[in-house]
Amino acid sequence: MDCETCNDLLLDLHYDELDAARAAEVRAHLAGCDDCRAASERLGRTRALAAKLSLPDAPTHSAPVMAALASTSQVATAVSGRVSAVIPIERAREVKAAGWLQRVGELAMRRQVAMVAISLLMVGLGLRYLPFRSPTQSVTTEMSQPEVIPATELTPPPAPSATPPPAQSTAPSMRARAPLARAPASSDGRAASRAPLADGLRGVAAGTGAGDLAGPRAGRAAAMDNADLGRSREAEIVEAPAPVAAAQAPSYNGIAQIPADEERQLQQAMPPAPAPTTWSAARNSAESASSRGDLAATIASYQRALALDPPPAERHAIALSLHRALISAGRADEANRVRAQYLTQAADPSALAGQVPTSVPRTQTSAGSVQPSAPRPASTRPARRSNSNVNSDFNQSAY
Amino acid sequence: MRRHRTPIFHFILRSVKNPATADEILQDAWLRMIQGAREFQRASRFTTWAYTVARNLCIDHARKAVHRRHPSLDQPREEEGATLGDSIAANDAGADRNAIGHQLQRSLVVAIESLPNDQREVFVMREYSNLSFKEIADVVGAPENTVKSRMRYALERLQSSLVEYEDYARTLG
Repeated sequence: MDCETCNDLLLDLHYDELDAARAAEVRAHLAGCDDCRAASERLGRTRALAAKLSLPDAPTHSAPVMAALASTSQVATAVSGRVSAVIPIERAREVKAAGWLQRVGELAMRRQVAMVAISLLMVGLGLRYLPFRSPTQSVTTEMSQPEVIPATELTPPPAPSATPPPAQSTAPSMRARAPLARAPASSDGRAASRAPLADGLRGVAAGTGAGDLAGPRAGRAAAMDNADLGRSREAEIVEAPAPVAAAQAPSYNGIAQIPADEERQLQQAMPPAPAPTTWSAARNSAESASSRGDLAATIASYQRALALDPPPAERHAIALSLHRALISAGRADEANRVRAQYLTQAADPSALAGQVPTSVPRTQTSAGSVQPSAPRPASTRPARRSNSNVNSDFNQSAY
Repeated sequence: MRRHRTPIFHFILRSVKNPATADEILQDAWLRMIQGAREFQRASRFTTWAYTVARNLCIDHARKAVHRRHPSLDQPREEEGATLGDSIAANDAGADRNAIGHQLQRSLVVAIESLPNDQREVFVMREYSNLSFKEIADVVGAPENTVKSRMRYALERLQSSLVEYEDYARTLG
């Protein structure tokens, strides 16, 4: 036996895993080989040291339980699969059921699940409540199938003397400029039968009385709303131009659109806001009208503000704005009257005390239709320049 | 099972290095054995099967304990080499009966637990559980020659770790 084979068999020799014949061969080799014998002795000493390690006894408190389990074999593991306690098999079913609920609960309480649930809830609420249709679309959707009463179904006017001149179907704008109480009835049948806006207008008209209504009425709903108003109202209905106009209404993606001029008519036909009772409200109304580009309303609101007796400084500013609006509207005479009444020094010296002298002539020359104002005394400019209250001067100058 | 309880507990203890955890895993292994009694193949020895179950549980515990940082009573300290359990006074009267033997016990625990896992499990099963190399090969799922190589490496490491007890070992021999 060579040393390599002997070294391979040393472990088997020390742990008694060699048969007797093979062990005798190894021992014979060890007797004649110092190196292999030394290796065997080292191995033996290490084993002797390792054998000095006393094995700790297993805890005894669990021994009876384990013995009982071994005898009955009725055991169950915990839900997680990791055995942490020994429980009877009857209890195991309950634990398993509780574990199922616990798993479902843990899954439901996970942060990701909660976030997904909240996201779905938000999306659902958004789909439910967010308006996906614009107001125009909602109006035009309802007008896609206008219900129109043919003219033949309507009762002809019994008394020609009480009938106003029949409205022309080609002149809706004229009817739209009618008094506001008459506006729903004066607008054509399409407008009366197509939109909530028109419904609201109809309600306003009904509240004002039937005798004021005039003009054609083609919408069936409008006719039904006014059915209780008497035959005298229906006698005023003379013609129904709606079908032709409805057929001519433009459409986009199958949805009929209201022409811009009719929209404007409907807006103008709406009852106006109550007249402002304070000069500030009137001024605000004028400014809003100016922002809309409604020059007439702007002028009217400024005039209303001036009539409500604003403070001198504000009166001056309002007069300037009114003056400018009148010039823009080409009403130079009225602008001159406003200027003479409010913007001259004789008219209101206190308001002009802080005004920059070049401001008024500059605006007036820009308008081109107003005479330049009288030159201001030269002594006023140095006096105001020496004044330290620059801010108050600037605030009082409207331009 | 009573016959294997202490060797398996020692095998588990040397792996998890905590008596309480070792006891818990021992009970777990025992329950697994009872539950899997029907699956037990009578072709193999019960000892091999029991150690396989215990070893698998030790591996599972090691995987779960990767993030656990609590110190073990048997875990050696950084500088001294002694375990935390050594600093606790023993209750038995013969604990300090032999100073060398007591120190050797500590050194052996340190040396064995410092072995690589594959070498330590082979050494413990062979040296203290008296499993044959073939049975150990069945438990660890490795060839018998591989097991012998691991055992040889383990003994060499232990010999180098316990070189200070060389003279003491000669007296034992």
